[in-house]
Amino acid sequence: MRSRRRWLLIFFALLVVGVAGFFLGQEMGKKVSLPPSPPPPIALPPEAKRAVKLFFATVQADSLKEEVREIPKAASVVEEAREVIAELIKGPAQDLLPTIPVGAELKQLFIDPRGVAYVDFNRELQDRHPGGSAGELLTIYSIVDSLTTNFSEIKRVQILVEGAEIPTLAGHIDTRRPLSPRLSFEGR
Amino acid sequence: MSMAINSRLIGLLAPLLFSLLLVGPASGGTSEFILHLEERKVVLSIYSLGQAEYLPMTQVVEALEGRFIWNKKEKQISLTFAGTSLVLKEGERQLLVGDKAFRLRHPPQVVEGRPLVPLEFLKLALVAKYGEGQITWESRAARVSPAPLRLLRYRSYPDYTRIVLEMTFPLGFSVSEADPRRLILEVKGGRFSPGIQRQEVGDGLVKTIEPKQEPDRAVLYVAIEGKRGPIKTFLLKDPDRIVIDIHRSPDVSAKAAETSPKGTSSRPPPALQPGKDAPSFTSKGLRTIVIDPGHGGKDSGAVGSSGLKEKDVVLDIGLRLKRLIEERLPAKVVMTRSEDVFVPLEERTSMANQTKADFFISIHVNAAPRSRAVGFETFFLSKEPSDNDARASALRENMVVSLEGVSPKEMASLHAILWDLAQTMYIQESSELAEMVQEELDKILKVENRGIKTAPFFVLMGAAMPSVLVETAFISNPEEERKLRDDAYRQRVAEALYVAISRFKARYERRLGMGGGGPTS
Repeated sequence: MRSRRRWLLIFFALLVVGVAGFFLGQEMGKKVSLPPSPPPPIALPPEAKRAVKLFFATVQADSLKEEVREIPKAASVVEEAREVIAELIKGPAQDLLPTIPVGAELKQLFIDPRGVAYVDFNRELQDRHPGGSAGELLTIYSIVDSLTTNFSEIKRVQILVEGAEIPTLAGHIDTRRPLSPRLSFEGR
Repeated sequence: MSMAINSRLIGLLAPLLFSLLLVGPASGGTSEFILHLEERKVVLSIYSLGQAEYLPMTQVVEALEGRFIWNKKEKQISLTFAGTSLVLKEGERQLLVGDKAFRLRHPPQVVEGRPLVPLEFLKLALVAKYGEGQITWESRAARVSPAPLRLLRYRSYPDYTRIVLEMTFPLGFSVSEADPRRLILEVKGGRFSPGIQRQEVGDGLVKTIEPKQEPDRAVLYVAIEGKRGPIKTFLLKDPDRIVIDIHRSPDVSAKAAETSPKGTSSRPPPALQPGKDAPSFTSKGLRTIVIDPGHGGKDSGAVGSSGLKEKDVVLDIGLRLKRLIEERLPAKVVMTRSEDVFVPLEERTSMANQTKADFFISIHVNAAPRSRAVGFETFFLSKEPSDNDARASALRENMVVSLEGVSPKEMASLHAILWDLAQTMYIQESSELAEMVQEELDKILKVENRGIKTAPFFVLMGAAMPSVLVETAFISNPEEERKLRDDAYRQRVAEALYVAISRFKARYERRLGMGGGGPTS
């Protein structure tokens, strides 16, 4: 009886050490896999690029035309979409006209499961907008078309200013709801 | 025997106890923190260090799509995204978010060359990145999304008022109707988008709708001023929304049914001219025309390089057009504004609907700075896919009501469906009016004709009648701005619009005479 108890104790002691060792080993395994210094947070090759189409205004201000540009490839659609808006804010390289008022900046961008991109700008988008329905249409649809064209995940675009929905950007177009792309609005 | 059981128990528990003392993923189902970031789901491993729970900094950085800088000499760890940086120091409890300092309950630590940050750091970082209102917390998870309650709208129908609260994803709710003067809707875990504000309804049934944000729920107080009948509540999908129908008390609704349905913001029109607000639906033919000079008051509209303001030009053209119509046509004119005042867009169509006007013409001047744009163009309401969605969902909402048994009272909601459909049908008439406006401006102005276009214009959205918006010239073009200063030019624009309106009126009446029916026959 006594010896059996001793054997049991030894057995359990071994079990404890064994299991502990297993856990420790797991930890060790993790340690080993850790690089000596922290890795760059996003492990993508820095030179990876993708071409995107940006929509700017024609000089007649009657339609949008695309300009192809390269942006860094990113880990998520959201990040690349932000980059597209950043490029749109920079304006066109040639022949076309910018659509985003000077001083307007992107604050946030989210995509919901239904494919609606919420694009939140600072107050400048509205405050410094020159007005006119032609100008307003060009601003709104340059954003909508640039996002929906480049990302199949984005179906519609809801424009926000300082985190809130706006009834209208410059007094004409209804921006209370997400807008669908409209790749041309030339007269008939 | 009992000894053996004890030993076995110790044997089973010992490894568990042992592992808890180790640095490692916490045991059981609680070793993960799950972040739902819009379309992404990120799983972070929780590590227990003593009493506190930690996350690997690299995982936090990746989840938040930020930039990670670790100054080993200074023992400083920082996370930067979109202009905001969060700075920590190894072993210190102070956290700097931008220039604001926070005190963490547990300091960040470096274990085996790996920086670990306390769980509360993730929470602060999420708030810094997305704003508190965008995050829904669960015990071991957080959900980041735009405020789940995204849109509040209402509509007054003849026998009930419908309140719709749209959500990003479905949430549980309860309605309390114990108080006859007040209805309370509580949405558990709900958060109002900043755009949701108190609404003045004042339709004789519902007085106001007031949102109140509580920490764990969103509450909507609906003040009732009329005698109400039953209340019906339902949850619908695509988009997820809560619909509340507050019915009028049956005896009151018979009387109210005579008034036409009103859209969002059905405040009484403020600027109706005395003697001109009498509805004129008694005889066939076009009797009431609404002229809507764009912008006004604090809203100047577009401004030319020499300082000419759109709001002044369009008011003058609008008043000239009014005089021409009143002198020459048997029709009444209602102006949405006759002076330099600000009138909200929803009020403009609401006025037109309330006076049962026959058509609506909104006058604007255009702008596109730095462009070479000149000329005139006329818009009518387009059938944007999103409009169709809105209409389809309005129809579905109505279907739910009508499926509950078709009583004579329910027939009134059928009228509401017809009203929605009618809006779609006005598109044909609106495009004809737009065509005539373009033709006449083309004859008189001899500048570039930019054509007829469609777009989801706010002011045309709610009009239950043919409606167009005309952009008469580009104030951003110095030459056209100069012309717009000229009284004679403004008069010519008004004349052109007048001819278009009289042609439209004649065609419309001819058609009515032939069909003898509604406006779309």
